[in-house]
Amino acid sequence: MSRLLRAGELIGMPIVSLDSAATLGEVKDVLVDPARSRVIGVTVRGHGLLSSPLIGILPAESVHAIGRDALMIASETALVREREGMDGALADQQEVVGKEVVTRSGTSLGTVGDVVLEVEGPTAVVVGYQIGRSDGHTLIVPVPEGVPLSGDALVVPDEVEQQTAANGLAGFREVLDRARMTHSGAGA
Amino acid sequence: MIRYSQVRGQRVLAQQDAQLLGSVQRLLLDPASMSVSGAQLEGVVGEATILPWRAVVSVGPDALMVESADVLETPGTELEQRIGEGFFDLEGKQVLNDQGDSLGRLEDIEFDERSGRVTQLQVPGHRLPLQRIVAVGPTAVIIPAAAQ
Repeated sequence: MSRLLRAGELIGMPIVSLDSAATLGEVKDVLVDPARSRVIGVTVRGHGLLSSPLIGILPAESVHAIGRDALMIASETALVREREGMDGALADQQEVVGKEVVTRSGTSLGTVGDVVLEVEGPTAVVVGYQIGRSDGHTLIVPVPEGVPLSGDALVVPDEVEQQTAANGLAGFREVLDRARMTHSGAGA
Repeated sequence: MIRYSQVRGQRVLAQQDAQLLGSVQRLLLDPASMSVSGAQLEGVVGEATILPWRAVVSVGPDALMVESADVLETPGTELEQRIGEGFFDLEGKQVLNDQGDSLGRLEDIEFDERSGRVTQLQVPGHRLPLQRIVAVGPTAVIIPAAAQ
């Protein structure tokens, strides 16, 4: 069963290898494929200190499981040094957070405070944004597939404005399920 | 079945000459065979501080009995290194399943006193029956998710 998670909750999560039960480091940032909304890896820093240097990148395909308390990988060799094949990747915390979300017809919904991921076993997909509104309220809106994350603002379909969830991830789960039912119903 | 907490600090006595050899400082766990392979003793005269579990003749309420001091072994460099890195400091290790969910901090382990085979891990509020250990590391023990 999938579960929803704010990308910010992944930051600082320990990375533990299954072959040695050793903590290799912790998640520094989440790398998102800007075109497909898919998490393609995380950057890794030394464990325990906020200022620890970057020690590698963990490609998503090397992730065994994203748990509640740790990110599990098969072995230490899964960590790579280079961002090979990840040139287009965005570090979401740095680059998506703070962007304005605007509907196609031009209504600003607010600015992105965090990215909501749907996690199932080892895979994570961007499914929503937590948005801070100018009135101080926090909302979560679904991200339809194919919304580019790399522009100056995030332009979303108008119906997103009606799909906002005000009561956290539990409320957002309902919104998401409803949006999917509508979507699959329309496609049938 | 006995528990780690019953053995820790326990005296080790030789049946042959009633010599006090030392006391249990920590148990040595072998994740591959999922069993207690031995114990490291403290207060030992000399460098042979490792008691192989197969040499334990009886686990009494007041002492672990062995035949003689000859059963004690000197730890190899690899074992010494693992001890130094904290692999066998079992108490307080985080128990994780292979899906990355924490089950709590390890409080105690239950094992068969004859074979040394570990049957249960105890965390606060739970006893986790064990089918397999995925790995033991300096700070964590990983068990299969199905074992919950």
